[in-house]
Amino acid sequence: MDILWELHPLTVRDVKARLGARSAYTTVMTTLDRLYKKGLLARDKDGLAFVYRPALDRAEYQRRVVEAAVGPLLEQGAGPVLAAFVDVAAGLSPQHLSALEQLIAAKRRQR
Amino acid sequence: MSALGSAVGFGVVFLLVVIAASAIGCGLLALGARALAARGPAAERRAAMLAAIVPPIAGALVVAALALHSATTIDHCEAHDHHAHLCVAHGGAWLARPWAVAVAAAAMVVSVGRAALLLMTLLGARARVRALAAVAETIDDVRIVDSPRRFCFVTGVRRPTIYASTAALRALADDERAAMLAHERAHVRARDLLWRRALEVATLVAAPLAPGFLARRWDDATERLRDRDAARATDPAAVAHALIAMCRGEAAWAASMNYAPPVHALTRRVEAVLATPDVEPRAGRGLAIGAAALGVTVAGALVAFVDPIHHALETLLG
Repeated sequence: MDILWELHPLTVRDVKARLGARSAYTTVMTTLDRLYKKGLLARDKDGLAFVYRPALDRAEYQRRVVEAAVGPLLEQGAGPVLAAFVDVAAGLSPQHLSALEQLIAAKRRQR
Repeated sequence: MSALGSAVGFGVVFLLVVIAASAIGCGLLALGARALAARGPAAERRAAMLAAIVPPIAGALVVAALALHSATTIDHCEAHDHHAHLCVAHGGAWLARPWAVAVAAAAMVVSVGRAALLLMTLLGARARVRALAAVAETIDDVRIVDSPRRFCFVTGVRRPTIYASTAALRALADDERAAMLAHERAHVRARDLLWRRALEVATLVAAPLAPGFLARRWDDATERLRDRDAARATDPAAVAHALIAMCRGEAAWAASMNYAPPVHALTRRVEAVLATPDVEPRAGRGLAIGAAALGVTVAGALVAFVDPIHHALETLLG
């Protein structure tokens, strides 16, 4: 994704050339195809080869990553995985939250 | 076959002891909830942990005592042949009892299922946390994630790390932000996630409903204890305000999801943090000493009466 955000559109061969000797041609082709199927890349036919470009900009991609990761993590609540400052299950109505704020103010006045 | 039969027999005894002990532990926790609450969250937390870890230890001790007894008492099996023996050498008769085989197999399936579920949860969470880490910006000991949702949490057992969202940091005043981070740093210092995972593993074999009950008790008490730590490090009102501010954001999310949350959880935390004593009572230590004394007494009784206990269990189960 980093390579295609920097420069696009690119063929599989172009991406492989930028990755260097690290990956085989078929590995790069399979990875790009998977990213296309996930909706992260768009592609057009150019002769016999596909040319790929990002379907999302970097900021939008990061927003989606965070959204996909945070939702399930927080909904698990306190547990063996994480200790959250507030559990989403503790969310209260605005009226109830205001009543709690009044309680804090009353305690402050007592001190 | 005899060894497998012995494993079934001892497995049934282990299960019986663990389920009975965890049911008794949960019952005592429920009955003594008020008394424990009066002693503070440290005592509540320790009681929940003891109720989780004592049953498997007790089960293992009973099985070890019975196995040792059968192995060292030469004439044990000749003394009575009217039931299956809890014996390391002659346990084949347990395989002829379908209920014993079914109970041992069911317990194994449930425990392995719970372990697999726990493992899947941990692996799924690890992948999500890695995804967050890749896009987070680290400032001091906090990884800041750009998100419209308000959250702040600690995750990781070996290297516990604090994650906070930009929405959470923006929503809080300076003193509230300091209070929230003090709460999370207290989790890191106390290695709470390590203990929480130990509780999860200890309750892989337990009475039905006990794992969830104990985990909730431990989680609730731990959060109030860390609120207190944060209150002592900063200001109780700042902690309470931070809790409310964080919930205001999540309340909007809960409403959008048509989710009706329980009302008491946050109220209890806010009231508890406002009543933070200057020094934490050391009631939790008394509880541990009491539990240890009870354990020693039970172990002593087990050693002293191992023969009649052994025979009684064989008569009851075999």
